[in-house]
Amino acid sequence: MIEVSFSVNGAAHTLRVGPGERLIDVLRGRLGLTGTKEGCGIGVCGACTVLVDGRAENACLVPAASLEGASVVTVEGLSTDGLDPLQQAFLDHHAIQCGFCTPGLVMSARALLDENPEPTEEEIRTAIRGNLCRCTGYEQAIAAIASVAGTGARALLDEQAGLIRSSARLEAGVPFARTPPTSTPAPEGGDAR
Amino acid sequence: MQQDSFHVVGSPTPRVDGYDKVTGRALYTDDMSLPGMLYAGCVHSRQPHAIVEVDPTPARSVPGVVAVLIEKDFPKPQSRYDWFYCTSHPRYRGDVLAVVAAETPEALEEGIAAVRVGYTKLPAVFTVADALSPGAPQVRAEGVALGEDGVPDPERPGNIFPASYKPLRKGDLAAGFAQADLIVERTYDTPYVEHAYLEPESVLVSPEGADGVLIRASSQQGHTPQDFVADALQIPMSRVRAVSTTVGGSFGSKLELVGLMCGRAAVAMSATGRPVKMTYAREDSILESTKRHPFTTTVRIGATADGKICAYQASQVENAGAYNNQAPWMNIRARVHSAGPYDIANISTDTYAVYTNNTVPGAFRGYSSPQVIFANEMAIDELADELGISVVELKRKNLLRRGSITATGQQLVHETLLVDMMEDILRDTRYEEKRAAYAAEAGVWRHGIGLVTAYRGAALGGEGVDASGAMMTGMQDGSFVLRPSLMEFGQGLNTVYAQIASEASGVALSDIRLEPVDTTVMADSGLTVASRGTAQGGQSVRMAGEAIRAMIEETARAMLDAAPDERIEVRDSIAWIEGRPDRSVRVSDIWTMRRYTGRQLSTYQWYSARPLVNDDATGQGEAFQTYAYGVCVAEVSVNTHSGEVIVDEVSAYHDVGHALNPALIRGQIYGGILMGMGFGLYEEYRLEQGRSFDDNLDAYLIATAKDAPLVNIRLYECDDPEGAYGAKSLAENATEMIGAACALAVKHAIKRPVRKIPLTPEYILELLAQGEACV
Repeated sequence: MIEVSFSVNGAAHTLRVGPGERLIDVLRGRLGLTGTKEGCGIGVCGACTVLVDGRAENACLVPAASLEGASVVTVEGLSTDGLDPLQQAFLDHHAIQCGFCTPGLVMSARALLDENPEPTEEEIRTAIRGNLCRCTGYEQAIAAIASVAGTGARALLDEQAGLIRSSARLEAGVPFARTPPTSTPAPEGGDAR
Repeated sequence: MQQDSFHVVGSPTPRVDGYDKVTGRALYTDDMSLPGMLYAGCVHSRQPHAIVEVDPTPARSVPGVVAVLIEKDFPKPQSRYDWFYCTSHPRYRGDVLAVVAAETPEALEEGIAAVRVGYTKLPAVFTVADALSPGAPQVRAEGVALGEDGVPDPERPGNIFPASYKPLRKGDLAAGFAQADLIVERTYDTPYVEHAYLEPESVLVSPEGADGVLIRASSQQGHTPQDFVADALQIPMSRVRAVSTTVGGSFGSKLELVGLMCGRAAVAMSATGRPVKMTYAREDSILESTKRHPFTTTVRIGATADGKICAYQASQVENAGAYNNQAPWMNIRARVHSAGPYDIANISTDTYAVYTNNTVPGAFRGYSSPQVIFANEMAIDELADELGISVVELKRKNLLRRGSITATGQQLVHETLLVDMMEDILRDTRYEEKRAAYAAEAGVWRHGIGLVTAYRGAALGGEGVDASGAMMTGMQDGSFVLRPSLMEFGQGLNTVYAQIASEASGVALSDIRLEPVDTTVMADSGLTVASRGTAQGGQSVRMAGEAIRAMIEETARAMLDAAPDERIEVRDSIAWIEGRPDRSVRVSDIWTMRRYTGRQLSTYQWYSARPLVNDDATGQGEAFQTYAYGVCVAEVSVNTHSGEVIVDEVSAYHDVGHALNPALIRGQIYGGILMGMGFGLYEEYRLEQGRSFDDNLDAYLIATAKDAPLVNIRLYECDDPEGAYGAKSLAENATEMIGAACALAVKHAIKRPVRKIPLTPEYILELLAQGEACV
């Protein structure tokens, strides 16, 4: 066990940490900062991404013992004074589904914009390629990040495109009756799987 | 289009759970802790089939280990869903042999490592072909063998899962083949696929009151944990309460395994009297969670020389693994769609699952359709090759139209947009022009373009009973609580439910708060599956909203002294007399009035979908209330030296009935496309003798932001009365076509028949080396 002093979201901490203890264990287990998620434990999914001295790092790969003097920012630290513009953009551009990867994605995007305020779409994709998301297909997250940067992304264009087409019948002005059918009791037996 | 009549549905409303998720405040199961809580984990089998002797003594002496449970410590080791909570007879690598509970995660890890297991190996079988061969070891006592007629025979022991057998018989197959000028027969294979949701499974079970149990779990369904825990502890379900929490994705898999984990944690809780949390590491998640069923499909199609399909025969055989709870239901869908979206008079297909000592497959987004569409569309494409006509021409001749009779004998009475959608996507993507241009390429990089046409039975249909309940309760300040009974697990259901409730009731969206599914409040409404949440689950929410509107109108009428012929309008939590906005009253004042005059303040509504009648012996009947149509074009570049594939562009056109939240739909489609690309091109959970080395996300690869192609989405609305506000299904539709579209595009680029996915670089080079050219 060694003693390390570091800050998390601006608050100073001095902790005795063990040799196998990781930054993610400190954040989630000791400090109750559960916004940082563990998805793989081997640094490939990015759900535990936090900022360590301004760099995006996988908290599952950072030994707690290496934190002496470090400044750590987690997703909880982004919204101390209202939402970070990136967080607001994620809401506005529907960039969230299950949300488990969202904190990590937002932190990677924050690190990118802090270093490069006007990234191209390709630079955004490169910056978040270590953040896996199984739900969203990334497009709306990229649109959100590009909107904060004031740069372009193809998904931003899609939001303006003609998304919805009506069937010929609707265009011909046939009434759009969405009257639901009468509900009838289900037969006995037969479990919905 | 008369969208004017809707105020809330149809809008890209932001997610109701977005703020909590983007700030990190949303609590997933593993984010929760309780005083005195123990950490639990499992010892998994290292053999695919064995009898084991488990010695828990060394683990019990590890400091911090509180309990080590083996089979005999479980009141009922086998769950009522086939799998075991704990067993001494593992039938696959992943069966649980012991459960350990400890004071800390570190002590748990040491305790698991200290459990001693002695294995006596038993014969095992892994592939469908081996499992069906004479003399194969019988994996499960209930397994049967094929009879002489190729149909499972209940009298013969074997490895076919009898309840999974689903035949389809339409018309006269022999007569159909007799009309054919050409008959094509091909066999296609699809892989095991891992769901790879970002949140690994986690459950937290704690004592509640004198004899109760409270469960929080990463479950796809609110009621599943209650079911499993009551079963594992052998106590009445009324003593078990499950309250849903934020779930980090599921795609069909967080059902049985999460239920089993709840049962195991509950037995550990019962043994120790303390709260127990069990969170799986990614390795345990991939080891024990279900996968997409691998299909081996043999298709035989007969057609006339001018391209009319006159006979279709298929066998669709799945590897079921060692236990299986899903194939009997999944195969209903696999049967219905077995001949694709084509109008064919004579069809005979057989669908069944085969037990092996492999990992257990289960429900996975699509529920057989990605596999069925792959085999069906590849076979149709090869038929066009053999006929020497374009596949587009073949489709024009055979696709389902309004009034067509489907494979199950159901007439399509609602709008059927498939052909129109195909013509649109052909024009928008310049499909035929590109197809001709790419055919002439000869460089290292070749281009290909693939078209898939599909239809999908919307919601549960004849797979089960599609029913659900919803409750809506108003407070005297005009705020409302909505309790649905189907689950939000990332797809956005609660947001759509809030929209539906607001539309139906006239209560402002911002005045409606969604509550979790609590089994002590809401009745079990079946599973949140089959993309039924919006279209059918939304119906009970709509009815609850309409009941609240009726209450608002009743009291508003009295408070505003409305004449009998005056209509009450309600919107944004204000009620007024139609055409007289000056005569209005707030819903908060209405609800205060109702509160103090003893009027009903809450409603519980139940919806059951129109019943369908189907004959299980032939598969004939009305399979689904309605169908959603889809077309997809994938465009790829293939490096003929390295086998690398780049997906350049995907166009996905979907008939959604009515887009209740277009932004959420777009998100589903973007995500579904990447998942489907993986299925077609690189995702495979590789098993060798029942063992896999694809144990984490560094070996099992899913798409990153760098892999995403350019995506073009179009949504089609039509007039269909079956779903809530005209909505059809979308979530599974969004992923089912892409794998096949990518495979067709690669086939086109490399001019080789493709009979297996994923199309890895190694497999593409193998195909190129074969030199068997096709059109």
